[in-house]
Amino acid sequence: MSLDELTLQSAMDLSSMITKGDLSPVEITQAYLARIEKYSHLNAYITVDYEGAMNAARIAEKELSHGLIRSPIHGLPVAVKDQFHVKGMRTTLGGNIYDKISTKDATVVARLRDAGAIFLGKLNLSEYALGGNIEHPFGVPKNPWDITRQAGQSSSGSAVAVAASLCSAALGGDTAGSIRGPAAWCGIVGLRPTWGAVSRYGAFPMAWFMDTIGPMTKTVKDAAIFHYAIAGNDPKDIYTSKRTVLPFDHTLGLKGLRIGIVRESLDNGMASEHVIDAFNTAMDVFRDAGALVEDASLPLFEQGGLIANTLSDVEAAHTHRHWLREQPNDYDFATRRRLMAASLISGAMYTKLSRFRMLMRRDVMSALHQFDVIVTPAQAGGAPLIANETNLTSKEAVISQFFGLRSHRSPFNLSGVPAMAIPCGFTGDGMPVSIQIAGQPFAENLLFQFGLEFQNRTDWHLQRPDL
Amino acid sequence: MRDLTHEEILSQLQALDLHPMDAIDLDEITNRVNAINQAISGLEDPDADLMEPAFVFWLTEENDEPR
Repeated sequence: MSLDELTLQSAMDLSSMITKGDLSPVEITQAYLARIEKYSHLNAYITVDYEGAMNAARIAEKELSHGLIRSPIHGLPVAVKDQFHVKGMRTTLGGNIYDKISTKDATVVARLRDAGAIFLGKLNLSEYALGGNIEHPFGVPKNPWDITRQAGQSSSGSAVAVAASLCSAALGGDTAGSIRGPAAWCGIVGLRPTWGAVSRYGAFPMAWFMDTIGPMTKTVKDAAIFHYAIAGNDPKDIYTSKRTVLPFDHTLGLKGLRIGIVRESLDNGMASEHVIDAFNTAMDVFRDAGALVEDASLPLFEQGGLIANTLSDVEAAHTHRHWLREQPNDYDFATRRRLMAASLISGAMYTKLSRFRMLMRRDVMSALHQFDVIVTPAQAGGAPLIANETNLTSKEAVISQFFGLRSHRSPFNLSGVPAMAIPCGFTGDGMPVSIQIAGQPFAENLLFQFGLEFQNRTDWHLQRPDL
Repeated sequence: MRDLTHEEILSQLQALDLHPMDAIDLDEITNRVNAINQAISGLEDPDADLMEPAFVFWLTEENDEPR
């Protein structure tokens, strides 16, 4: 297998070769850097740190050759969304306003660095991690399965980089679906962890009570290893949990575990025919694995997009208030209009939405007391074409674009529970489709258990785009 | 709740020292605000007023055993 072909392998397959001495961190880093150059038209990266990556690879190689194995991540080339600070690297947040060399590592970056990861660079994103912008200062991230299509919002560069094998794994941020959405549209695994499981120190905020950071990977096993590396208490983020993070036990099966299908995620036109077909086939896989699959209900499911997007937009409007006043021209036009609109949402409306957030949390927790996990499609349909305009020329157009069909991932952001997107098929025109599995707070390992069993029985995670 | 007019939206924005770039900006901002207000006004649940809008959840799970 050539070095270029090796980049297509999962992170844990590479890790196994590296720790056995069969693969050089220097050579695999060079191979990823070459691919980043070759496929630069995908606009996955904002910053590539050729020199820093090669220096780190040489250090990793030396350590490993002396028998020092820091973790399963040691020697793996990775990249992070340009929403997180990496000491010595440029941070842009994907926009035109902020452009600084970071003087410190975000906690998630420091933890990956301590685990021996090699940083290839910073990944493209929707500006300020908001999602929804049309003009991208660093180029529109293109979906590797069809470069005329969107890669999702807002951890789009992270999803493109993993799907196109431009890094072994990436980190993204998920406030209202921004890890699982791009993961689903690009055919990779994306985990939004429990709110409070992973430190947000050193990450630019959107909505503090929903912001999370998680892994975006080729396989569930990779996601489990990277989540374990970054999770856990951090005194620099007072909202991180103090509970012990346990490693994932690969040996557990699904026999007798209960899955609840959220009916509202499938009915009333909430998902396309191809998505529903792939979803139903995935449920058969779980049944074959011994799980008990039944129907569950989240009555407010369709309202998830409205509640989550409006709350997070109002929070973002406050964060951006100075730039919005002083440099409105430096925003993408869609972002500017969105933030200005959110600036006018009344306190009464915000309070009403906050109460409905609690109702959603009540319903989700109630379902999760009845079932071990609840499942939905991760998206309504395949990735749409790259847009040039917002086309929000009426109130009805706004409602149809932003609420309802945008709700698949939001109920779990609102509830603070973990949720993971896993590829489960393709649409008729070849775009990836994913299921979403959600569990009780801090039940990430249970999600990995379901995901691993699914990937042991299917090969969707082994498909690679033809670049 | 009735829809706000372009003039009302512009007036509220100006009070916040926010300035749309042009008429297209103002039109879309108006559509967004009216859509959000209409959608939120339509939310109904008998328990809504009984729920306290807490922000932080994980404290309630701190003492539970991980699964």
